[in-house]
Amino acid sequence: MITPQQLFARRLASEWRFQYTAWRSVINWIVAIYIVLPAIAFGVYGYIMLWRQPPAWLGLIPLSWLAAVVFYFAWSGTIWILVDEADQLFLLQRGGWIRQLSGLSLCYSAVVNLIASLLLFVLLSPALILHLSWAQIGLFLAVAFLLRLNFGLAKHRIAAWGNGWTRFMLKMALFLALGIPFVWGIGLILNYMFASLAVIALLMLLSVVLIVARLTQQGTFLSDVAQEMSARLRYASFMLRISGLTFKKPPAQKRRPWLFPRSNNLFRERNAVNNMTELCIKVFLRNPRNVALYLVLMALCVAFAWPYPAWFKLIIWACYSFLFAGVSYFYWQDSATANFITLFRWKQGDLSAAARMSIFILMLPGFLSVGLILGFQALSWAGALAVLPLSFVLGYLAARIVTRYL
Amino acid sequence: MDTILEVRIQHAGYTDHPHAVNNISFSLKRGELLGLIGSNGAGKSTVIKAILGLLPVMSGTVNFVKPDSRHAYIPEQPILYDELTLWEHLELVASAYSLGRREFLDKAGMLLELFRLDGARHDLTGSFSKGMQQKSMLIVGLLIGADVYIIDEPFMGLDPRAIRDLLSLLDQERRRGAGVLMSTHALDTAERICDSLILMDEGKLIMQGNLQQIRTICGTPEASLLTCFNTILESLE
Repeated sequence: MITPQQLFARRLASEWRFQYTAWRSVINWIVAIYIVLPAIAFGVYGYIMLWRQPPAWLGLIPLSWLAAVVFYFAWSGTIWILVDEADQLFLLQRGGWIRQLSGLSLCYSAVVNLIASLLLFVLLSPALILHLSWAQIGLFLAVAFLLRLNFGLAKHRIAAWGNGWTRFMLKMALFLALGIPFVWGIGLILNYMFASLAVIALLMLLSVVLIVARLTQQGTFLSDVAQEMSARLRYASFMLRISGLTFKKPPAQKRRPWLFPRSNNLFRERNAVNNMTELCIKVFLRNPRNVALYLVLMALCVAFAWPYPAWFKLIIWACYSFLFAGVSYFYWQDSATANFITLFRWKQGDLSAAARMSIFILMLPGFLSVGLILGFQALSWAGALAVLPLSFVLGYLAARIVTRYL
Repeated sequence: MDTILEVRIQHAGYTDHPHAVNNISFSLKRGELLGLIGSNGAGKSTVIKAILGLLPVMSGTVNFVKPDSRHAYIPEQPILYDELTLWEHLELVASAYSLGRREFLDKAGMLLELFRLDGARHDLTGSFSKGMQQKSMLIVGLLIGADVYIIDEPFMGLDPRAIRDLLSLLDQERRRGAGVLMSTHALDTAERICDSLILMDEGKLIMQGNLQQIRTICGTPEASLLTCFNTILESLE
């Protein structure tokens, strides 16, 4: 007869198989040989060089920026409760099994979060070592790991409480109330061993409280299933979408959208091109994950081009027009190839025109903002001013080219 | 009655199962409600997909007789954008078929009221129950005033009032001249509302005609469609 431990092992194996299949569907051997392996080799080489010959800009990164990265990382912490929708048929009646399954899942979550924290600190250590001693980095790592675990547990609890504005406001309040003191205060705390140990002890105590609360929580099964689905698809969904696979998302909890709550029109003229463009923009903006990814892309673009000389910086920025157009194309494709659209007959000309317009509108804010920052850094106000008209021209051309050839 | 849809399928199916349905021929006339009946896996949905051109393997012809005919497909499983409101879906469909603004507002308002979704017009369809999503799909399909309606299992997930309203709307559309091809498991309803029936089993058409003709073939003049259907299946075994 199967035991809760064996059931957990099966669920874990199935989880890993799912993640492997999702990634494998995109990273075939061609992508692995020509993109992934060279990228890893390049990354490792770059990392070793950071240790051997630290570049001057590394010293310019303040500790508060690094703390902000660590805090965001901790905030994105997730826990897995390996329950399945079908468990309500049999397992839910056996409280002991669900508790054991939850307990083992929490142990697994703690291990995964610890490994993730270790990896982050390995990556950040060339910059951290310029501000902190190794002992302080160790304490910082412990704080980051415990914070990440606690956030994962707390978010699970908040998700079970309410939805819509209540949940959003609770999360935002938590993010700001802890984020701001963390970013500005962590350096100070790490200077005092006793204070650091006290914070760690406090976080450990909080973890225990949240874990016990989690294990004794009642009536959250459906919320657990929905969150398990979100956690499972967190990294895989993007890959699955690229490879053309679809999946059933957990049902949305909010009834009215925050943006355009009365189905407000973005274009006065109601025709197929405008409505398809509107559809693409609304689908993009109403999905916080899309917006977050877009913002991360903008930050990475700025960070990548930052250390280069002015003329080279502007060449990189011009190339970004294709990057932003390419990413926007994926968002367009995601909306325009949905099953709902295939129910109706569309004119090919309308779809192409809508693709061009959607890609241009989606790419422009990111491309323009990155251009303004880099232009200002390279050539002060003159650079920023020059970037304005250029963004429109380059964006328009990139949108046309990408629509035509992708 | 004029024919508005002619279907002649020699065989159709999927890459790994190219003969999922074989030798299916029928036609749909203006104002007719044609029921496609069969057990689970009989091939009803495959026939519908073949008509819509959604199958990778299709040998045969599907002819929407009127050159500029509009057809609306209402699938069994609702397929809507979770991130769009119901009203935004309707706007999109109206623009795809170039409906006039006045016509769109009147018709959309009437349909929303009829299916009691008026209060949810600005809600995200991702937050709807299965029944509400099914009603939304019906509204989307009925909005364009199609010449041919192809409806897959329309009664699944609908409450009794919505079923009654749907049937009365389909009646209205048929009086306007639209033809309806409907696949269903609800044999008691099909018996009552369909002008003619197509019975399918294991990918083949096993009988075609109106209820009276089917009863005559079965030799049971007063039997229900369910009894006839089971008699036919048993005779094939």
